[in-house]
Amino acid sequence: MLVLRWLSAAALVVIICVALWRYSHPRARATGHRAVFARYAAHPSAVIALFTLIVMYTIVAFAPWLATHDPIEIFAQEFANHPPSREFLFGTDFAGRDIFSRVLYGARFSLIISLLATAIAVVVGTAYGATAGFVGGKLDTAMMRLVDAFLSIPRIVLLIAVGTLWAPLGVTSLVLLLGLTAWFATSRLVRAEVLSLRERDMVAAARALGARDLAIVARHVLPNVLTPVIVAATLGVAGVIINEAALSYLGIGIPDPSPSLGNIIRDGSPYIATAWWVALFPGIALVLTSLAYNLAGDGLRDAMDPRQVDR
Amino acid sequence: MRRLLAGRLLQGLAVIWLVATLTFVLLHLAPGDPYSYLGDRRVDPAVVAGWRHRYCLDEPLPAQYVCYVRAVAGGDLGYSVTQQRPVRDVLIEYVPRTIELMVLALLATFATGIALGVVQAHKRGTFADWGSRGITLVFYSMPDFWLALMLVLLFAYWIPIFPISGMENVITATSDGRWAHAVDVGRHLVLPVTTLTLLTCAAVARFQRAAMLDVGRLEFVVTARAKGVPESAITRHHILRNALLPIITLAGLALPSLLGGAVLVELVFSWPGMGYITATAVSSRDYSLVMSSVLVTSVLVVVGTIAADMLYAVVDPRVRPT
Amino acid sequence: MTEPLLSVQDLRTYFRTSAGVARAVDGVSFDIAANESVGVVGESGCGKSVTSLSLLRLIQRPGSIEPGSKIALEGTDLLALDDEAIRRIRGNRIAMIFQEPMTALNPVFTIGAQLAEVPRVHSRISKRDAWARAVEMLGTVGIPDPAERAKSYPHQLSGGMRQRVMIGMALMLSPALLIADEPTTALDVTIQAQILELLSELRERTGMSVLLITHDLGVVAESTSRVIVMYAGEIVEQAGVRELFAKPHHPYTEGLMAAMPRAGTKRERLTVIPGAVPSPYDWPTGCRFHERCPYAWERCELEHPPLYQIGAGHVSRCHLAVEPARRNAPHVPLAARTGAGA
Repeated sequence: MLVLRWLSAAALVVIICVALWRYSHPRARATGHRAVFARYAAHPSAVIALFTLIVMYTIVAFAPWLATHDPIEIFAQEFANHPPSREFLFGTDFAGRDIFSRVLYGARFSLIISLLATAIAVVVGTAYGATAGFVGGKLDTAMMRLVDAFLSIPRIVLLIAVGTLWAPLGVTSLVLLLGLTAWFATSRLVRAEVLSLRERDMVAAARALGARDLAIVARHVLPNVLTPVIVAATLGVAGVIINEAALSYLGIGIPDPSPSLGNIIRDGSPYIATAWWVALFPGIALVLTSLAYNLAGDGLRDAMDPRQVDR
Repeated sequence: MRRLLAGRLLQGLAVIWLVATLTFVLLHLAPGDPYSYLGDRRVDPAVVAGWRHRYCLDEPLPAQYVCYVRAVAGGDLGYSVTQQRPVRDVLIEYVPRTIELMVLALLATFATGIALGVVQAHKRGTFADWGSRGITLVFYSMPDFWLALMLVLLFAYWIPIFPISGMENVITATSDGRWAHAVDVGRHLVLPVTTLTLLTCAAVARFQRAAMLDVGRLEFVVTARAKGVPESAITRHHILRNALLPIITLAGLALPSLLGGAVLVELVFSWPGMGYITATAVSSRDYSLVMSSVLVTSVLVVVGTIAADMLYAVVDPRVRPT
Repeated sequence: MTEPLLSVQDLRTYFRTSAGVARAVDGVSFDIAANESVGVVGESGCGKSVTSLSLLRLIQRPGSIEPGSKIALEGTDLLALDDEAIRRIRGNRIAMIFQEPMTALNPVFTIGAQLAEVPRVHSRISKRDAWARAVEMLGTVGIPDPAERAKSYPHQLSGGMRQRVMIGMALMLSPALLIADEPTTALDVTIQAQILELLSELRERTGMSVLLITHDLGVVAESTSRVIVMYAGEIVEQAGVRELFAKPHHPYTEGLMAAMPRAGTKRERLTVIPGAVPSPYDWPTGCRFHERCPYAWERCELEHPPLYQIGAGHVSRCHLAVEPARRNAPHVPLAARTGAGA
C-alpha cells in the first residue's frame, strides 16, 4: 500500500520534470523567460539541483500520506535508539520515535518555513533598499549605516539573542524572526541597482513626462532589480534553512515533540556515539536541500546574466 | 593614510553605537528585564535591587538609555546571572579563547581557499577544477553543528585520534610541562578548526578562482608573457598579487560568518569560548550575557573590517591617498 | 640577398569555438629584413593583431597556430621551439608593445620594477644592477627625473609617459625586432608624434627592425618604409610606402586612402567603404572583398585571387592585375545595394 503511494509520488515528479523539459526546449528559438530557462537547463548541475528540489517538495507536500509512522508516536521503550531496520527505515531515537517519519515531517516544516521567511526578507529588503537608493542623501546614508550595523552582527548571534529574549517562539514568530534577519544583504543589492538605474535616461524621461516617483520606481526600476534579487533569494533560502535548523538545535525553534530537522539532530546529539543514525539522516536532508538551492542559485545567476564569459 | 584610518574608525564607532542602541531597544522590547529571570538561583533581593539601581532600570526610558550607553562605554556590560559575576569578567575569560579559535580558523580557511582557488583557475575546465568545486560546495552547504557532530563521530569516536571535546585535558594542564600543555590544547583545536575551515573555504576558493580568471584576462599578463617572464612567475607574481586584493575585502566580509560559525561549533566541541557561553546562556534567559555577546562580536567584526580596509590600502597603491 | 631577419610563411591562426572555426589569420607570408621598418594596416577584425601575437606565440586557447605555418627568426623556426626556448626569445630577441599602456602595465608594481624584471628573467643580473639599467632606460626614452620616476606606479603617469615606459621595457635587452601593436592609437595627436619620433630615433641608434601595426595610414606614411595591407585574414597588398601611396592597386587600399580625412581638400562627406568586415567564421567565397568592391565582376565571386606581382616589390591580391580594363567600369558595390552590413 505504502509502496503504491510512493510510486504515485514518483510518477508525479516524472510528469513535472517532463513538462519542464518541454518548456526549456521549445521548437522555435526561445525568447524572454523561456530563453532564461533554456540557458539554465544547459547546466547539468543546476538541472540536477532543480530535480532534487522538485523531488523534495513533492515528498514533503504529501508527507502525511507517505510517512511510514506517526512522527510523534512513541513506540515501546524497547525500541528506543534502534538502528535502521525494515520497520523503522532510519532507526529510532531515544524516545522510541520513528526517525524516517520525523525527518519527513521535519523537512516539511523546514522547507516551508524557509520559503515564507525568505519571502518576507525579499519584500522587506527590496522595499528598504529601493527607498534608500531612490531617496539618496543623508537619509540614504543613515539607512545604510543601520544595515551595516545589522550586518556586523553574525546572524546566528542575532537570532540567538532575539530568540532568547522572546522564548518560547511560536511558528509565526519564528518565521518573522528568520525573515526579518535575512533582508540586509538584499537591501544593499537593491540599493546599488536603484542607484545605477536612477541615473539612467529612462528615469529622466519618465520624470520629464510627469510620472510620479512611486510610479517610476514600480514600473521602471523594480523589473530591472528583479534579476539579482531572485538570485540572492534562491541562495538566501539555503541560508535560512540552515539557520532554522541551528535555532532548533539550540532549543529555540519549535518545541518538542513537533519535529524539525534541527531538533531531531538535537535529540541525537547526546547519543552520537551509539545512535549516530538519529543525527545523520536529518543532516543529510539539510545538506541536500541547501546544496540544491545553492546550485540552483548559481545556475540562475549564470542563466540570467547574458554577459557571462565562459568560466 | 592616517586620514583613511581616522575616517574608518569614526565609521566603525558609529556602527558600534548603533549596535549598542539596537541591543538596548531589544532589551527594552523583550518581556521582563535583565534581572527578572533568576530561575531557581537564590539571589538576595537587596543585591537584585542594587543591580536595578545601577543600571537605572526603574527610570524613564531616555534616562535608561543614557545610563546604558555610559555603562557600555565604560566597559560595564551588566551582571551575568548564570555566571554570578560581572559580564565583563566573563568575557575577559572566554573571549580570548574564541579569538584563538577564530584566528587559526581564519588562517587555515584563507590558506586553503586561496591555494584551492589558484589551482582551480590554473586547471580550469579539468576534473580537478569542477571536482574540487563540487566537494567544497557540499561542505559549504552543511550546517555547522552537524558537520561538527559528524567529525566528532568519525575522528573522536570511531577513529579515536582527537579528543571529543573541551579545550584541554585537566591533568595535562595542571601537572605536565608547558609544552605538553600547548600540544594538548593544539590537539583539542584540530577538530573545531577543521570544521570551520571546511565550511568556509569553499566561498574563499570560489572567490579566488574568479579573481584569478578575471585578472588573468587582463592586458598586463600578456605584456609579462611578451617580456619572457616564465608562466609560473606570471601566476605567482603578476596575477596573484592583483587577485589577492579582493580577497582582503572578502576577509573583512567573512568575519561575521566565521564568528557566527563559532557559536555552534564551540557548543558541540565544548570549546570554552564566547559562543559556548552564549549558547548555554539561552535556556537560562541570561539577557545581559546574551546581549553582550552581540555587542562584542559586532566590535570584533568592525575591528576586523577596518584592519582589512587598511591592509587593502597597503597592498594596492591606487587606493592610497596621494 | 641576405637572409631576412624574420620570415613568415603561410601563417594560419584559427580559433576553434562552439560557434565554429574562426580563421583569423589565413595564409599570411612576409619577410622583415634587418634594420627595416614595416607597417601593417587594416581595419579591426582583419587579423593584424592576431598575426603579431602569433609571431611570439602568445595566442591562447581556443586559438592555435595551424601546422604548416612557419615563422623563422634568422633561420630558426620559432614554431618548433619548446616553451622554455620561446620564452627566451620573448623580450630578448623579439619584443612587443601594446596599445593601452594603462592596462598593459601591472598596476601594483612600480615602473622601475617592471623594467628591471626584463633583464632579471633572462639573466643572472643582480637586483641593483637591473634597477640601474631600468633608470638608465627611463632616461633614454625621455622620462624626466628617471631615478625618482622609477619608484612611481603606472597610474601616476600620463598616457604618453606610460607608452614611453612600455617602449623602454621592450628595449631593455636590445631586441632585433620590435613589434608595436597600435602604439599610438590611445594617445593624443601631439603625443603620437613624439612617440613615433622616439621610435625612429631608437631604431636608428640600435639598428633594430620594427613591425608597426596600425589602422592609421598617416602613421604608416610617416614611420615605415614598407607597408602590408591586410583584409579578412590575408595580405591584400604589399609595397614600399611611397609606391603604395602614389599607386595603390587593390580597391581596399584605395578605399582606405579615400576614407582618410585630409586637411585642405574640400569634401562635403567622407568617403566610406560600404558594408562591414565579414566574420572570420565565414569568409566570403572567391575574393573576400568582392561584396564591398566597386569593380567586382563574376570572376571575383568565384575565384580566390592569388598575390599578383604588380611592380618591383609590389604585390596585390586582385584580379584587376590581369584584367585592368575593368577598373574603368566602377559600379555600386554589392554591399551597398543589398544594404548588407552596417
